[in-house]
Amino acid sequence: MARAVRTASQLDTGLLVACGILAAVALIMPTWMQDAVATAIRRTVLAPLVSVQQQAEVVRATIVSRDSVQRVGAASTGLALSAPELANENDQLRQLIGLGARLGRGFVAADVLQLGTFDQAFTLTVSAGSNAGVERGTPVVTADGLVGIIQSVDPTFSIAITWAHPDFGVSAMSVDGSAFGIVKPHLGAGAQRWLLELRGVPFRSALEVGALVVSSGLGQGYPRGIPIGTVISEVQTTEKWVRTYILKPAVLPNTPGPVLLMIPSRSPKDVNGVWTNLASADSAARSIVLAGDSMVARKAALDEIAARRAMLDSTGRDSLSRADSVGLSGRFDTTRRTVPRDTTKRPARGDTTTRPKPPTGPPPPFENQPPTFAWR
Amino acid sequence: MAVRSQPSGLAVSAQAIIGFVLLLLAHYTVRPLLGGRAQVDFLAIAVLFSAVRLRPGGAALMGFLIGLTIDALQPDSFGAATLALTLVGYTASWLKAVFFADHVALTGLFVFAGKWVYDGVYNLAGPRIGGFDLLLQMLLWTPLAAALTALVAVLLLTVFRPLYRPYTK
Repeated sequence: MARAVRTASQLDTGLLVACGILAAVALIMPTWMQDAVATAIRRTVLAPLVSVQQQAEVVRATIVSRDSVQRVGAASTGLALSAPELANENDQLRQLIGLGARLGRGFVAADVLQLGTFDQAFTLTVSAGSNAGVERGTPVVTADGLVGIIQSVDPTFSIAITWAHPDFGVSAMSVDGSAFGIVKPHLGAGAQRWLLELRGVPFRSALEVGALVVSSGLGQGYPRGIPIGTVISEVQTTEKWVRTYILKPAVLPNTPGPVLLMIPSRSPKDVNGVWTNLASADSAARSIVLAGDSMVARKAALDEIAARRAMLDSTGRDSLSRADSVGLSGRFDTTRRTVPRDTTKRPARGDTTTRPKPPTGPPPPFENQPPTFAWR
Repeated sequence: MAVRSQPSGLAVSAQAIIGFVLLLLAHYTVRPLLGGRAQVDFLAIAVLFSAVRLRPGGAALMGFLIGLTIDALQPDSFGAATLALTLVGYTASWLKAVFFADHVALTGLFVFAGKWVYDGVYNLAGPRIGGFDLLLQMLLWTPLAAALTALVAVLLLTVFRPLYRPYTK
């Protein structure tokens, strides 16, 4: 009897030691191996549970939105529309629509899911995976700027690291292209943990407080021109030949809301001008609103088209008479070809009619830039 | 004198499995509906309730497996939840062997302590937070989540008593 108890006790201890060692190995094994194990578990045992949780998230979203609808019904329409939460959500969605229209192609819209047990500031789970074309290394952005990059892809969802993750890094530059460096998270204590650092800026390239820093497009990870943050201050370091700046991030990682995933193989390599500065995102949203509800703008655009046609017809008649005089009657078509259909329609687009000119010019082309930085 | 009849071993096992599966499902269906930063951890309740019925080695193994499923969704801290739940499962089962009373308040305390230890080990081994953030997490958010989890555990024990009441000899 005593022997049986002793054997059982030894078995318990053995199981504890074995599980403890395996857990410790899981903690210290290389990231790629951790990813492989985690992916295998997610795609087999956890797949149905994750699917159920996604449905639950949808139900929660429905419940939350139903509450919102009820509030709107209870209050007057004007008050409801001015409710801060609703206005913020509208702003976010308008900005995303504006961003999507500006990006044109190569992006997938996704929601941020809370699949983990713990509060996650360093990683995000987004509701789009390889079925939607998402691949490892896909940048995650919002209308405000860069959120992070996809680290692990499953068929129906993906896991991204945010800019706060210690492994995050992006090659960056000032909007005018005068300063280049690497942006990494600022590993300070307390609230300073949620700031970024622009490192390795040549000493001759000074940046002013408030200067916008965007991705430089060097390397393979991020297209050129995604806002990362704005300069808050310069940090004094022991490296006297380079400057280091503290940045205020463009997007806070805990509540980014809906996001866009920029598929590297399909999205443009240069998105400069899509975000050029933070104000332009707002202006994009405003222009969408204007384009959406302004019949006046549409009428003005149609009037302008009619006026141009009338002018071009008269020009065409003059050209025809001149061409006939020298025996080149075919040139009449050439005159007409200078008025392509989409060109005449362009003024009807809201985002081009009221877009303010960016305060700074676009960055210079890729020539004369520092060596390539590859995202790890 | 009335004698309370003990269910058969098979019935007890079936009840335990059903209870465990219900908690597992609740973690992935009910918890997302609740939202909030301090969340109920149904998986921790499942491990703690099951540990009471199992030998320490079995409880450690179960904690290990449940921890793996948690870590699979948080690759940033892979292994941390596995290690934490292995230790919590073993300790809970061992403590049950030392003392365990079929008392609701004590069960609540048991779950509160288990969840706090679990979060503590997880935060120390896993996520790369430190200093003030760690202090805030350990002294504010973790106790809140642990209290909420303990409250739900007590509620479950009261409402679904046949499923979660431990049959100890």
